[in-house]
Amino acid sequence: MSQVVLTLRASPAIVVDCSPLTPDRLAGKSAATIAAIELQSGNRRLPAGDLFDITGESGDTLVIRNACNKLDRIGAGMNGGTLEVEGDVGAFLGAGLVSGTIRVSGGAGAFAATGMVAGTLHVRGNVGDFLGAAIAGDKQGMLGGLVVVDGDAGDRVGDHLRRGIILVGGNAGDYCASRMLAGTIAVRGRVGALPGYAMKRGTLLLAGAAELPTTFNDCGTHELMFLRLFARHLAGVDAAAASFAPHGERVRRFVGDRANGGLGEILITV
Amino acid sequence: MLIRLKGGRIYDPANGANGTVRDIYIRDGRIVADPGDSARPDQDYDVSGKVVMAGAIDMHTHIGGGKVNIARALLPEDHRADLLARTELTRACCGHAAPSTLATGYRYAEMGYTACFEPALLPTNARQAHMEMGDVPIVDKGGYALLGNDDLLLSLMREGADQKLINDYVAWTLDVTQCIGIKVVNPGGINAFKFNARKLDLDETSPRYGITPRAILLTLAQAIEDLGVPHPLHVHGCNLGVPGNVDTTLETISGIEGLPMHLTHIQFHSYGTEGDRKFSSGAARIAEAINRNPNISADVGQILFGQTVTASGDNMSQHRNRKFASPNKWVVMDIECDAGCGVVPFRYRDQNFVNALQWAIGLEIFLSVDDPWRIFLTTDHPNGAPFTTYPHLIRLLMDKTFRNEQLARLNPDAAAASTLGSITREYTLNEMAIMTRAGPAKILGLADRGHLGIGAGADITVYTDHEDREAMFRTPDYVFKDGELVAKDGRIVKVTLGATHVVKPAYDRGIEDRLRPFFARYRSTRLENFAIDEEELCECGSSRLTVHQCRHARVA
Amino acid sequence: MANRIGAIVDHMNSTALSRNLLVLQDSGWIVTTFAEVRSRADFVLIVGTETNSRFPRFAERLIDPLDSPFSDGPMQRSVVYLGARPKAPADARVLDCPTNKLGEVFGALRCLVANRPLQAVRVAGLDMEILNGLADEMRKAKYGVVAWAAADLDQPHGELIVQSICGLVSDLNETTRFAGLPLGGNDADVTANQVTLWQTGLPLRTGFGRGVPEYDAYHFGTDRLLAGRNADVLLWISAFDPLRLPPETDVPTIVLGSPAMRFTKAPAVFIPVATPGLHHAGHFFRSDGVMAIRLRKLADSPLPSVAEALTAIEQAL
Repeated sequence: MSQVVLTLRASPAIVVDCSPLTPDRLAGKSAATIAAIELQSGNRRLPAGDLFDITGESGDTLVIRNACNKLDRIGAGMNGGTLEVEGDVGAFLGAGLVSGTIRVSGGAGAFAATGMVAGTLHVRGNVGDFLGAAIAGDKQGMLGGLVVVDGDAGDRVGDHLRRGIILVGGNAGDYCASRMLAGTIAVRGRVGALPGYAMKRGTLLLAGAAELPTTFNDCGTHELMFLRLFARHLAGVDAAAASFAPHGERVRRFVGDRANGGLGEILITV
Repeated sequence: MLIRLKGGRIYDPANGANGTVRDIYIRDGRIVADPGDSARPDQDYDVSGKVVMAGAIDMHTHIGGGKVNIARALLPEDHRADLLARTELTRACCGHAAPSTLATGYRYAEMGYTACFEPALLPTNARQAHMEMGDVPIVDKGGYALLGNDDLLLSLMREGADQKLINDYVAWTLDVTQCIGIKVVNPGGINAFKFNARKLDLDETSPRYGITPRAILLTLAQAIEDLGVPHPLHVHGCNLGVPGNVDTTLETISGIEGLPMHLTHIQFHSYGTEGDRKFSSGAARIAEAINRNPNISADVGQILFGQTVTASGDNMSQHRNRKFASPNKWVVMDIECDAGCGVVPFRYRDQNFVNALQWAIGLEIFLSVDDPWRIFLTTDHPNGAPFTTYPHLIRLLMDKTFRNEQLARLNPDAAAASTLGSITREYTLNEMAIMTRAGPAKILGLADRGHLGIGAGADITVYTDHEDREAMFRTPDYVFKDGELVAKDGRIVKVTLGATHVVKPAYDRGIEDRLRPFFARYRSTRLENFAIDEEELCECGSSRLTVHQCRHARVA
Repeated sequence: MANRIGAIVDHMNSTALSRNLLVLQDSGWIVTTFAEVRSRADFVLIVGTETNSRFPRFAERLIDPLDSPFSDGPMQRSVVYLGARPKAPADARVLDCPTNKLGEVFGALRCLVANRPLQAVRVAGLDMEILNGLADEMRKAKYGVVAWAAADLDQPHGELIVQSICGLVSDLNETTRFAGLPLGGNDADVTANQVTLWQTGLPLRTGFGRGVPEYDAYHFGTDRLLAGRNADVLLWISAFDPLRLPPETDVPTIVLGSPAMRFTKAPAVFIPVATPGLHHAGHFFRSDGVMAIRLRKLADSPLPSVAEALTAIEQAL
């Protein structure tokens, strides 16, 4: 399988918008053509060739090596193919991802998966605040697809989440699932203060006790068929997702945020 | 410098030119007589075969003031999708539903508009409105000051103050806010909303003051008449958007007792309650009433499909409309015992019965009012649609085939409920020149705008006579503002400052002694700090103050 | 200047300002202004700790006067302070509650106002009985006001508190009239935001690096830009307050500021400027964010205004 490999030579001084560099956008382009693609960095535009060594042959896979947190918008708006990143990345990873798979070996900055429509995003390290959340003014965050974070996530995971699944293997920060509209978030570690704040609908699945807002009501312990279906769904995706399958089906169910009339649910496995 | 526009077809209804071929000469920003063969033009534009009109005038467009800036703040997502890049001449900014002031000026000028009038200038907020309008480049501006919900006027009326005193208050308001007209929005209703009333009909008495909207309208219309202000009282009536409000509107017309009155965005006030959905067109009755009452004029407030934002002083109605906000966010404000505002984003959908019928009602009104001097082309920007849709609207009015094609795409029940498909009228170029130039200039009392006679300000737009009227009106060949070429082929070539148009009716300054205690006690601004002078206007970006004549000085 | 060189525009107070702005952009609000509060409000809830010290004349001008054009005798006005040990008059009604719990308190009030049952018996250390009484009072108010200074809600994601306040106000308007009163305006923060909004269509934290405006409420904050070294020069303007010094950074810094500024670390360039409203005319938005006030020239100064200095720099570029 042919692939293009972009190897970052040195960390750029100012963040670089890498959204033009996706497998679908580079399809059929020669190394020279790719090198001439201009990338925005602050108030300058730099040819990709000034930042990256470009090898390989364009196909449906793009590899970015030696990446760092100054590379923003990696995979933003990508529509098809596979993007493999070795290293850390900056903000807006996979923003508006339409289809395809993005894998990052390191960590990512804020607003990963914002506006993501479908596809899969897998980050092995930690991610910043606002994973799968809406940017200012948008009423909906992530719209669909699957996000897996092996490490920790920052605050406001899934703020305004509209659809799709976010799985966090480590801990999540404050206000996890704030203002969530629908979809599913599962956190295997701990969550910070006030998960589910201003939640409308959707499901937040937690592995252990958490400091819920007082405006959630305790609806008791239940065996939920949903959990078996959810586990089966995850098992069908891949090994990383499957590892999030809840053990058993017994959960304590809290409903809220009643502050805004919400009927979201926080499920805590028991 | 002498400029000649050579050989154009002149549409200048104020001077009786209907496609007449003649040259136009410009010197020092004004149109001058043919200087004779000895004078050689410094600039010569061959416009033979082209359509030449005065610069267009938008007599009702929300381009500045607090509510517009709230609309801007509310919608970053709308702006992100319409970005204007920096050029050598123009600055980076955003457009669409609530465009930035800069984008407003650039895009109006590119479309051949040279003057815009902000119809809801809260006296309290006049300073901000003028600052924003000062940052709308190129085009001239003017504002209508809002009265009729301010506790001052209502207190005066409750006390039974005589008309002369109220006339002084109205004239003082025009003077210190630097406005050209007076507008009333939901008379008494905005005030009543502060006392928790949710509706106020024409003959309902308001809480606290016990005054009816009808009385407020009559009092203010009388003041405008007594003061000789050219622009009739500009009225956004009761019950905006409420099915059945056509009766209220007809009552409002008869209730004004023959005094001049301009009914704004009348489309939103022309709804019946017939049919299964209890929503029907009242356009025929409204048009008939306008045709029959020469004291009445109207602008349409046409809706066009897509995303926009509604921004109005009518916070009573806007609070009701919050349920239709799309996206779901909205602002309602009470302001300084003076007025209020409400901002609600909205998306008009062509498959929605009500929206589709609103579209048809607006066009029915346009096409059923006989006298183009008394009906004006507006979308009530941005309430019905952003002003950038005007070329599309013009094509709908000038091209029956195109109109019927569009009608066929709408919600079929709405199309069936409208008489639009049977209307064959097409506006002519001359009528379009009346509706967008000569008419607005006449109804605002702008003696030297909206026409191409000797002495007029050289605000001129030159079009290629394209069969596709949308293309024609979207991209004029040349736009001159005060004799300077500001846009060519739809691109800005020079950025200038526009003037501010005002009227200054005579009044008794003694009114300030009456007003001062109220300001000192209940307003949070002293009277002395309220007034805006010419120097301040120019600091804010206006090129100059242009004072237009009132019909007569008030007899003391 | 920013348009010309492709810079990002921010304000020293924009972290506080954005707590309100983010709510406006997400759900909007119902708000009011000073004159309405003074003459109409029969119930005022003051949220936060420092409202009276940040806005020293707030109580004196708006809360204390009880004459009204709408009332034939003195008005009745209930005033309640809610916050972390709010600074209030000795006889004031005070509900003490940590700032980070305010969102939950307003959430509980929303439930009570809308008759949505809650299991909780205490919220943020306040008995439900007390909150129920407060909710009842709010429902019965004819024109109620909740005032807050965004600067007081100084914690991460403080906008979520503001959103709960605004949600409560909106709910109350189903049956009565109620309005928020967001207080700000210090150091011309509201002014800067208003002008940026109308000229570009986007608020503070808008950049021009791409040749088109780009708004990023999160990454374009000054502190974050400096910490991430995503800015290579800082132009710091403080014409009003000599105490507002630029943040400590090794990014080269240019200061246009009051000649009274005393630096611990000298900026790369310091251009002393005149004071608006003292040495030259200008405009300033009042702390309710609505009224623009004219600033007049009162004295001569040999120093340039900020605008003159920026224009001169731009022309030299």
